[in-house]
Amino acid sequence: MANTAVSLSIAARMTLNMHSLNNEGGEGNQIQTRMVDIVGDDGLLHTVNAISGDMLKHVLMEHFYRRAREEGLSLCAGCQQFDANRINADSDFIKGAGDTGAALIDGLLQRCAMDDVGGILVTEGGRSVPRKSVCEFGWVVALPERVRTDSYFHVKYALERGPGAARKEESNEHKGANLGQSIFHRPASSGVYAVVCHVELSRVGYNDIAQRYAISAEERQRRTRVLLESLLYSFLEFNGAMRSTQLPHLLALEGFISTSDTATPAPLVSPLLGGSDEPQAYREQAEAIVRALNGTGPQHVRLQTFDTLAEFSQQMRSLIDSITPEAASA
Amino acid sequence: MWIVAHYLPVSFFSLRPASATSSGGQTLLVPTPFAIKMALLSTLIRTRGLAEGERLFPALRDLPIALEPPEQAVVIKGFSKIRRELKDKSNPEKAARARLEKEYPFQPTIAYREYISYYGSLRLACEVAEGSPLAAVLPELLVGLNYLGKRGGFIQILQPPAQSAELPAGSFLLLTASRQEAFPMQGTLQVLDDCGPKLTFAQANIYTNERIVLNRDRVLRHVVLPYQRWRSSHSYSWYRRLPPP
Repeated sequence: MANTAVSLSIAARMTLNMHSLNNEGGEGNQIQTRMVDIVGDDGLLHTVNAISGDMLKHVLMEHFYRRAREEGLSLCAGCQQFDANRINADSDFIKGAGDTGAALIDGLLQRCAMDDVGGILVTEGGRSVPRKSVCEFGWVVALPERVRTDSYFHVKYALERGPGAARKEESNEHKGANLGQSIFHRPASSGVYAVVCHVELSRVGYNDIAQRYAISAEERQRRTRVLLESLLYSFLEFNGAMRSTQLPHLLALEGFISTSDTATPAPLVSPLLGGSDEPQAYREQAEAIVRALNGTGPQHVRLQTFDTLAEFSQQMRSLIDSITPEAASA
Repeated sequence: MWIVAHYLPVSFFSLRPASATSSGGQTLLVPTPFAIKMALLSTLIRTRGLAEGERLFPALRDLPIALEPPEQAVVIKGFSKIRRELKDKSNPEKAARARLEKEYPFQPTIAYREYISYYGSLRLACEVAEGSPLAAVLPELLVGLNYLGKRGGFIQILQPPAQSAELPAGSFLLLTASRQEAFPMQGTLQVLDDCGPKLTFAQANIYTNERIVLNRDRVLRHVVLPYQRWRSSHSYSWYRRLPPP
């Protein structure tokens, strides 16, 4: 069944165990994980583990890159190499880019699905033409009192010991080879995390300067499908730092998906709302907002809840198979 | 007549002041009138098209705005990885080396960033005259707002905006006052930008080359916010809203 949408939002509580997906840096042999200070639902200050929205955006684009290549979507020379500079690294495009911002964006949208969905700032040739991303992520923040962060001791074990090995080690130290035995500390966090994201489906392939679509309806549909699949995969395979030895255990996922077929943005409520005591509060709040926005008229804003990762996957699959991106403006 | 919209903060808010550099950006505690008006203009263009945006721009530019900030705000301080434009792009040797490293024209670096975690809801109030062309459109625009400041700083409207003859009771602060009003001594002074009276649609359009001149097209207002710093450390600053006078 066809199902039109201008925007889509996801809000979820996710239980992640033993992860170290986002770290802020290192001091000596200690890795510092990302911590933020927030006021909890109880009105008190709490220091909790977090994952930045930049990280999630990167995870999404990594999945999008793989799916786009599988599906044969058009990619610029930069994106074919997964270069973070995207179309700026495509010298052929930059040389032949149009004189006006509108012409440049038309060319960009036609040439590359990743620049279309992920956005970029084209600065070459004294220009400053932005392509705003279609998807937006908030910070992933742990619920106060429902998360623990600790630091774990590790050793890089050197097989050779004794005076001979020590001398060899010393001479190698000067070369910067770092062959000796060393100790280090790595963080790991476990807890319930709040995730929020919003996707402007109507802007896939849309030239914001010229106020029209630069690609065909079929191509928009293909890109939207790959984008939503990548979003689903971002939850199924949560990429990030230190996954070679600390792949996170995803234990639970619950929340809601909202969609809107008008310019009213698909509603989004922080899953931090309600804290530990009222775990359904954010979903009840979102349902009340949907009722208030729709009133007694047509139901332009819709919301569906999910309680498991499997249910979320099924609902996303159903949207991927049925959704058609609509245009926001007349 | 005041049109009042009630929002719930969803994610962290961040908006760097006009004087911030790309490497060291503190955040303002609240969205500025300029940021709010540009967000409304963006929604207007998205929903009603460019011509309507241009037609209603003068009314939007001169719109008086009052804000009731959330009860508490925690400024989170940290470092993030960013991409910054290569400084010496015109040096062919440097540019060629950067291309090989996939670092052209943007190279990776780190920057100081601040974000705000709000506690409590916020209310936005806009004053429109009875015959103003904005009166019929503004409620729809306020419903269409879903983020302020840096992208990802989501807010969620709780119900369709309400109308009232007077500014509702509460801790509202007029952000666009033309002269200094009475303020709490324990409050926090911030410099918020607003549209100047001569700002044109072409200047507000980020896709044109028209320049915005500071203090003429974009004016700076010194506003004492009803926030008192409660506690602070190297990683956060915790502000609480002062009770209404």
